[in-house]
Amino acid sequence: MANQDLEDVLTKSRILVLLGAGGVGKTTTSIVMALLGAKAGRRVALLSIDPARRLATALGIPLGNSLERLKIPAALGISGSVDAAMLDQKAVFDAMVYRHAPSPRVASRILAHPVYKAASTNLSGPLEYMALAKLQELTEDARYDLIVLDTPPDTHALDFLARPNVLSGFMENRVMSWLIKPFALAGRFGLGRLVGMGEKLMGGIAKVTGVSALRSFADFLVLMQEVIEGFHQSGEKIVKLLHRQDTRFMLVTVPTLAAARSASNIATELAALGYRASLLLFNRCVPAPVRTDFATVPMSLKERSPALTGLGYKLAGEERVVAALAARVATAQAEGPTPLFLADREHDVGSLEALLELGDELERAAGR
Amino acid sequence: MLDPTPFFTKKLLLVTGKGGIGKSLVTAALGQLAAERGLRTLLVENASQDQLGPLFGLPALGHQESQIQPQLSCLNIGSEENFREYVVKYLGQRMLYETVFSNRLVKSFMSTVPGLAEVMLLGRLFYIAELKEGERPDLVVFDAPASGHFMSLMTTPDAVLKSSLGGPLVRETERVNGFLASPDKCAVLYVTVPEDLVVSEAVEFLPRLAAASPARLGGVVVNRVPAPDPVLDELALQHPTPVSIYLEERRAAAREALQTLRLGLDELARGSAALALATLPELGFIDEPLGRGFGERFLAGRGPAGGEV
Repeated sequence: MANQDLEDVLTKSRILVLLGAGGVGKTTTSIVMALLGAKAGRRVALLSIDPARRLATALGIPLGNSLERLKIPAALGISGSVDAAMLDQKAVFDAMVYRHAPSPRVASRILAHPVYKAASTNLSGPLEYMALAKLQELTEDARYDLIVLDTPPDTHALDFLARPNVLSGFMENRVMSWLIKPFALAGRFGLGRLVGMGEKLMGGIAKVTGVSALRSFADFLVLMQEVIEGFHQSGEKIVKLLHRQDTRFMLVTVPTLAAARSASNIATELAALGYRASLLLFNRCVPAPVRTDFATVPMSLKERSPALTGLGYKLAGEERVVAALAARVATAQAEGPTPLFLADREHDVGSLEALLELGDELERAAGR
Repeated sequence: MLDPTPFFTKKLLLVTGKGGIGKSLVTAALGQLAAERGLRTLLVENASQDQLGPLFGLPALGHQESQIQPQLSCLNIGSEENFREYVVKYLGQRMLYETVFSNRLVKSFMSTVPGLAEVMLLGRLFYIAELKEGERPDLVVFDAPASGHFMSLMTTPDAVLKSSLGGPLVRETERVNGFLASPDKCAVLYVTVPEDLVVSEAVEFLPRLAAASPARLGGVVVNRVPAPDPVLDELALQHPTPVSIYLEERRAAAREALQTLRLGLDELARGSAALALATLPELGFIDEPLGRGFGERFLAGRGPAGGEV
């Protein structure tokens, strides 16, 4: 294999987390990496969060909480396997509630609660956190020796890594009991009973949200107390998992200034959180033969053709972006990975064959 | 080209689309042209890292308003500071904020209330575009979250109105919803690119958005459309080379994707007014900072070496 970093990740890592801005081909790359892992004989679990689901549909990956084996033709001689899941917010959330609720009865009361219904389906929720929860569950599963994790496609990519701690502040000093319980009781005995400090605070919140909403929410949180505590404990385990030696991070980007800026920010934050990117991939580059051939196109033609002029800008821009980002990543984390490149394709990748081809190309890639 | 004139009479433009297709670039171009036509314009984003300022060569400033050029500023609304602004300026509850909401524990409690961040973001946009005293912008262009999150954002007011929430929050959400739903004040622009999977996603997403969003879909913008190129056509015909084959294949794929999109939009428009579809040119590479007049050239459809789309 041409790239030592890539071989290292594929054979030695236990968890591989992909990071990058939206629209840089992260989900596609996560499937390619899972397939390469299987080629290296690993038993791979792939967790993805592709909101468009087009790729998932094309590959027959179900939406939900359960993993499904990808059908890889035996003729390809791939010794490992890939089980993939396209995470669905509600399904993962429900599973977490069942897992951590003190009794099935409490679990079903939670699932039927209006606040829960709104939080778990309608409104944007902590999808990232749930992916991490699922990650933790899978690392306890002996059937898998490599877990590939795709992260949500937005600019808040790093919330994902900070997320495990998000509930700790909440749980500190048992804030829940302190703030919520009196309020739930007030629901029963009337607001006149709200006299303590926590109660005053809750009264203030009620001025904005209305009393009945808060009562309903407080009621819900009391019900959720043990579940949240369970979430919190998983969160702490996840932080440990992510800091393990065999957890690797892959930075995915495209060679544009905007995407490189996001990638550079991610690399900096990653380093600040004590992690490092082991792989840096540039998707959608101009193919090398085209780059070479472009040098032979006469200047007179280039000037008169918008497509050729544009391609000229693109080639020059790509070179600048790649050099600058590789240098930034190297500075952020003391030692940067050798960049990998994948060529841009005329059609979006939508089949197993095309994904396997990308995998071959990635393995051949030895930089430029 | 994209004729921006009908959009420049609005108060708030919401620009959305899949990630990585030039949403921020279209936001920046619209805002710049509006400013150069004399409108006081504010570009807004809600991101952990600034995207818009750096496009114009400004350092990432975090969550404060900064001027780009005359009449044009940008602001990245962050959740934490938005919470304060919302409670203090919008709900007019400074005392309440200082005694209750500045409490760290209360903040962490509020961050778990589903939908609250979304309601406050929309409320803040409403406040900036419509209520703010003094130096109010003529036009706010919001580089909105990518499709999926945008859908959550736009369905939140309805969810709040149907929930058990009450008090000022619900009253204000009603006003915000009314503002978003008025077609002469707000419009959604959906940005896409001529690639097969991206376009199928658009065709699947747009009818759902049109059905659920209070703000009206004002137009669909296709970014990165190759300009007509007789020089390349001749080259491809006479001496095909790796370069001409590469470019021709992409142009064919783009034509096909555009066709798929047109069919999808016709389907969506059935029974109602046709939806404007504008195309913007493939520029090859977006260099920064964007210079003066970039918005005008780009929106007029002028690509590299002049060709128009």
